[in-house]
Amino acid sequence: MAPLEPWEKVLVEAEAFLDTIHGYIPCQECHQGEQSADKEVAHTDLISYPSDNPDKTCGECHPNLTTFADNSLHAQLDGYWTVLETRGVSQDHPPAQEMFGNHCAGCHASCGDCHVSRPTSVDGGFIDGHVFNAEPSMTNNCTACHGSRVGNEYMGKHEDLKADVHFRQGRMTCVDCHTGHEMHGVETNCQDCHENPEADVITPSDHRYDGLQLPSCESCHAEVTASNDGILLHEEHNSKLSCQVCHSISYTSCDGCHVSLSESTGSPIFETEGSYLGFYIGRNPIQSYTRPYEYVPVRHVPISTSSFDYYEAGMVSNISAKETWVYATPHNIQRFTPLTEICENCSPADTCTNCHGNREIFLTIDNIAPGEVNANRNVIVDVIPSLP
Amino acid sequence: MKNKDNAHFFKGILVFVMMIGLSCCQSHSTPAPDPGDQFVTATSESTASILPSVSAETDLTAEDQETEIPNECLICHSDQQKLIDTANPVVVLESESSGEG
Repeated sequence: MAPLEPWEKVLVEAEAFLDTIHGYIPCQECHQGEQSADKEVAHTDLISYPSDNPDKTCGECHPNLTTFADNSLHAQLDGYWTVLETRGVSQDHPPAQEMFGNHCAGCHASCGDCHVSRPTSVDGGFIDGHVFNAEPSMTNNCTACHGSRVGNEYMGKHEDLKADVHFRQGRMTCVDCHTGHEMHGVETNCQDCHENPEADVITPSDHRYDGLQLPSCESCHAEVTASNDGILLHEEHNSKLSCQVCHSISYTSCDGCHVSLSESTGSPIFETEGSYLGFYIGRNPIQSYTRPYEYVPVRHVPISTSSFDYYEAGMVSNISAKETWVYATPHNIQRFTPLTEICENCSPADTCTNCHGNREIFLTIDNIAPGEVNANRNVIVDVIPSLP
Repeated sequence: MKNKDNAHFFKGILVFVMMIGLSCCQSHSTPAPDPGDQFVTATSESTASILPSVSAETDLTAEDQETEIPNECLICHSDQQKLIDTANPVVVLESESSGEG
C-alpha cells in the first residue's frame, strides 16, 4: 500500500466531517491539545490516537461496543499469545514481552484503526478526511494488515491465480462475511436477531478458529449442507472435507521468520526464510463438532525454533507442541478448481482422480522440514486416499 | 455529553432571543432563524464559519455570540497548504526487513 504524504494523513475534510455526528464533538474533547494558531502550542499534550483509550473517548457514546471490543482479538492479540504460549513462549517472561512489544503489538487495532484511519502499523492517516465509517474499508483497513496472504489471495494479486469468486463476481468485501459482532468480540445472544440459531450464545474466541465456525460457507450455501443440491462430489464427501479442499487454489505459505532490531536505527525488522505458493491437503488438526472435517487445506506458518533468538536463545522451547502446517481457510474460492474440473470427454466420476491417488496435492512427510516432523504428526497424510 | 447538550441548548436560546431583539431594529427584514438551526454547527460556506470549539464550562457572553470563536484546530487541519508548510520533515528509512510480513 502506497504511503500517504504527511499532510494527507491529517487533512480534515471539514465540510464532510462537520456534517456528521462526530463533527459535533469539540476537537479537544478527544484529542486534548489547545486552541492556538501556533502548531507547537496547539499540540501541547496532544493525543493523536484517542481511541487507544476507548473507555474515555469512543465509549462515552458506544459503551456497549467498547466494553467488548477492548477484549477482542484485534485489540488484545490473544490469538498470538495462544499459539506462542503453546510453543513455550511465556507471556510473563520479560524477553518475550519485549519481543512481543517490538514485533507483534503493532498489529493491535483500535477503534480508529478500523473506522477512521489506516492502521498505525501501516503508518496511519485519515481514510476519509476524519469522517468515521461504520464499515471498515477492505483496501485501507482490513487488507492493510491482512495483506500478504488473505488480501493478495482474495483480490487475485498472484500471477495466474484468480481472485476469490466472492470478490470477483460477488463484489463482496470483508465485512460482508466478517461482521461487527465478530470484530468487536461481542458476546452475542443469537435469539436477539435470529430464529433457530445454531447456538444460544456466541462467546468471544481465543483464536480465530476457536468456537463456532463464523463465518461459515453454509450460512449462505445451506443447500450444500443438506447434501441435496444434486452435486455428486458434495453428496459423496459430505463433512469429510472442508469446503476449501475442493474450492480453493494455491495460496501462500511462509518459512522461518526471524525478528530483531536494526543496529543502525533500532527499528524492529524481520527476515523470512521464504514464501511460496502451493496447495496442500492435510489432516485436520483441530477436528471438532464445529469443524468435523477429516481433511483441510494447511498452510505453513513462519515460526522456527530460532525465530526470537535475538531476544533470548531458544525462546521457542516447544515448537513441536503444535503443528507448523496449520488449519487454513484460503480466501481464493473458485467454483471450479483443479480438483473439481471435468475434462471435456470425461465422465463426472473422472474428477475423482484429480484428488484420489494424487500425491502431489497432499501434505506428505516429504514436504516436512526435518525438525518439524514431530510437530506435524497430526497433519501429515500418511496414506493417500484411494478411490473407494 | 449531556452537559454539552445543555450548553448548546442554552446557547441556542440566548442567540435566538438576541436575534429577535436585533431584528426589531433592522430596516430590512431578515428571515427569523429556526431555533433548530442553532444546533447545527456546520455550514457549507467556508472554513471561516467553522463554529467554535467551546467547552461546556464556558459562559458565553453577548460579545461571543456576535463573533464566532475560530476553531484553530480545523482552520489548520482543513488547509492543505498550511499542513504542507508546517509538516515535520520526513526521514525516509530504507526497510531492512525481507520477505513477506
